[in-house]
Amino acid sequence: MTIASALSSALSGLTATSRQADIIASNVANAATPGYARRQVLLTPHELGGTGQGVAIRGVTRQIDQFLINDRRVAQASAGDRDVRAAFLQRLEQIFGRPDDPASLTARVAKLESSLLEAASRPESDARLTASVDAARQLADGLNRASDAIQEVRLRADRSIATAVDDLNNSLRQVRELNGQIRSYIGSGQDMSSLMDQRQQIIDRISHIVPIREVVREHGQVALTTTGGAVLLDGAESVFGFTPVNTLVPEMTQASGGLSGLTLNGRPMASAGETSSVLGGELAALFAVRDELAVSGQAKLDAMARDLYERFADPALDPTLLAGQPGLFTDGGGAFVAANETGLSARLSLNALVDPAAGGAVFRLRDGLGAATAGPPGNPALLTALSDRMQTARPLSSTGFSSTSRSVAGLGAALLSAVAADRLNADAEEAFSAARFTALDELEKAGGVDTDQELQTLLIIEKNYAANAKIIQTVDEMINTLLGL
Amino acid sequence: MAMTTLLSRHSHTLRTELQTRLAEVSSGLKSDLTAAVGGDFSVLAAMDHSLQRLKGYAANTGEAGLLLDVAQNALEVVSSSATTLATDTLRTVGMTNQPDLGALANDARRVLDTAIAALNTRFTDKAVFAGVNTNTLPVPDAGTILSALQAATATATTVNDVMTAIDDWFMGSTGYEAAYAGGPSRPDAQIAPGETADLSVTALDPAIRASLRDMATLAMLDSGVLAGDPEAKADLARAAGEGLLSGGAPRSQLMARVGTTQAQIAAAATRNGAEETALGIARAGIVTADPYDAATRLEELQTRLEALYLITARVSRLSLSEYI
Repeated sequence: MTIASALSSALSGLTATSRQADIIASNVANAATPGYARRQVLLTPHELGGTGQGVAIRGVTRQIDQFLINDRRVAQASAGDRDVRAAFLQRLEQIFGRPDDPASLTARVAKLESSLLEAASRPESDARLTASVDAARQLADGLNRASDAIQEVRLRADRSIATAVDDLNNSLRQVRELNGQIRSYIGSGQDMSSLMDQRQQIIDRISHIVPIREVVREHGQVALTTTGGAVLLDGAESVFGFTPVNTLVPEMTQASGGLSGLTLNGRPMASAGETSSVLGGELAALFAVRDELAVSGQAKLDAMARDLYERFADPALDPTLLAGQPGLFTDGGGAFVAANETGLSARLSLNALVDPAAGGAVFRLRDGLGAATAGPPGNPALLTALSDRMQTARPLSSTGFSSTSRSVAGLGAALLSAVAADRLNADAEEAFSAARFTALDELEKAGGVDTDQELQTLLIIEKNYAANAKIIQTVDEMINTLLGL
Repeated sequence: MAMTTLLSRHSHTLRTELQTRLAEVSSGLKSDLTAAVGGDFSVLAAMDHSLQRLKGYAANTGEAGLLLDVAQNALEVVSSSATTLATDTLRTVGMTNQPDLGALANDARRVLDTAIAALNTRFTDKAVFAGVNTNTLPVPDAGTILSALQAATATATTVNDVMTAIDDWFMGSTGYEAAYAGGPSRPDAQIAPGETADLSVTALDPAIRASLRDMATLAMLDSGVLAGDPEAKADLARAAGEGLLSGGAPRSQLMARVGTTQAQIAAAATRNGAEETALGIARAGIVTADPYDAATRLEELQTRLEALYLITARVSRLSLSEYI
């Protein structure tokens, strides 16, 4: 009887070592797989009737540090959030343009001023007047393009939100399905490590979009909540709702109802502010870009456009104008009303009266916009006044800005500086959150598969296997001896 | 795995920084201007703005300077021919009892033509003495002036009558001033920030009108004026000659006024040039990268990157699988 039990113990040893070798092979093969947690075979002595009967495989464990993973996920979400904001502010800075870039708004303002000065030097020269008119048109174009670019970014953010929400809903459904499969496998006592790996990968993907906490429930189940407290998955999954738009104009905001907000299981949910429970991830950052950062950039452009419009629409500057008539710049061809400030930078255009391309004549720049016929060709008075008017410091009419009086050039520089300072700040925050994420990610990876360690274990297993095989051989000889008696 | 990630992250950081430095060395400009100015572009934008305006002022000073050069030359022609005519007249009238007034009148007519041509000088298609109406010639030709004067002096019988009629025509508001085809004076030109130059001289200037008056008086001598009274004609010629001579002082003052403005414009151009240079240097101080600093950093980065590659190669060989 004892010989037979020795044989069965050795056999269980063989099974255990081959299982260990199997797991090591899997570890080494997956050394570079993201989300793969190192496996270990859990062994216990097998007891039968109070005596040892070989070794038993209790199961395969995944070596993970749930706290580290949770921290890493929050850091990852925050890095995603900062990335999106910093990328937008960089784009906004490019849209305004740095002063050394000839296409920048400040350079266009300076160009208009200097071409008006040059025109005042030779008011009879049509070429100089045309150059001034062109410079004015380019300034209006510059503002139009900047505004269009900002709305383009908002539209892209809107589409990205839709993609992120789809991704989020799909991922939550997949996690729920995996939860179900794991529950049934656990019931049948099978190894469900690879399903757990898969689930971890999907949860990692979710944590890009919103910052989440993973809570372990019994039977290998997980529940997911955002760090803000919204329940994403606990048994059943929640469903986020969002409707993207096809076109976007400056007047459309979430507050005006023109843009979709976020719903959770059909109930509206704050996408920003302290009450929002999705803050701190890519999703909230995309909402911030669409609803706050880009809107504030657009407001800056609109303030500049309004300032330009109001400077020139002044009968005291050009006596041929009537009060309320547009000056050098128009609001889409007509007069500007203060209530329509939003989106003015997209509509600002050169007055057709001075634009030869629109049937106007350049002499009106010299003789007044209301002039019917050309006046004395050598009279630079109005041109000089226009150039001076750009230099005059005046306070902004738009609300929400400092009341300092500025020239057009000074205003352009101040708005650019505000954007640039925000960008620098966002860059610093991005670098900080990226560093935190990298550090946690490295910590997590350090706990992952180490091929050297696996090979060391393999050496021991090889010896164990040989020893067990030797025992079987020896028992065989013993039995043969018995049989040969 | 962790080691590989660490190494690849370091190498990425180093290579990114290397690219930044390489761009700085090759372009000579700081790669992140925003960081270089700390997000505050107001100084840099003000500099670029001033530089652009100075370009505008450079055009103004150049053109205003040339315009006044041309005006000064024309005044010089008027003044010198007036002085020559004055001395000729006084010599002719003073030397003999029977002066050759016909030749003098011819001479005066020629001088009047020259003076009018000078006052009608055009510079780059704009009439210099026409004020803001730069597209018309300001002064009518000598023939028109003389026939108008003949009509004005038709009833005059004494030297005084003739002189008063001619003086009224030139100095009053109906004769010469009505025939003047130019416009009001040019407004001052901006030649530097906050500085303007006076470009107001026109053919209506009293000094010019007085000279033209005396030239025209002399040119009238061989027309029907004071016919049959050589004595009176000689008196008229003498008075006109003396007028031309005494008109030298206002003419000089006018030329001095133009000359002062010329000097002012030249000084402004020099100042603008100096300011442009100073701004250019200050701007370069903000936007250009220190080549020594960039090159040193580049060298250091190269060393670090080489070391990292060496470590990567060593570490990747340090695997148990190589030894068992």
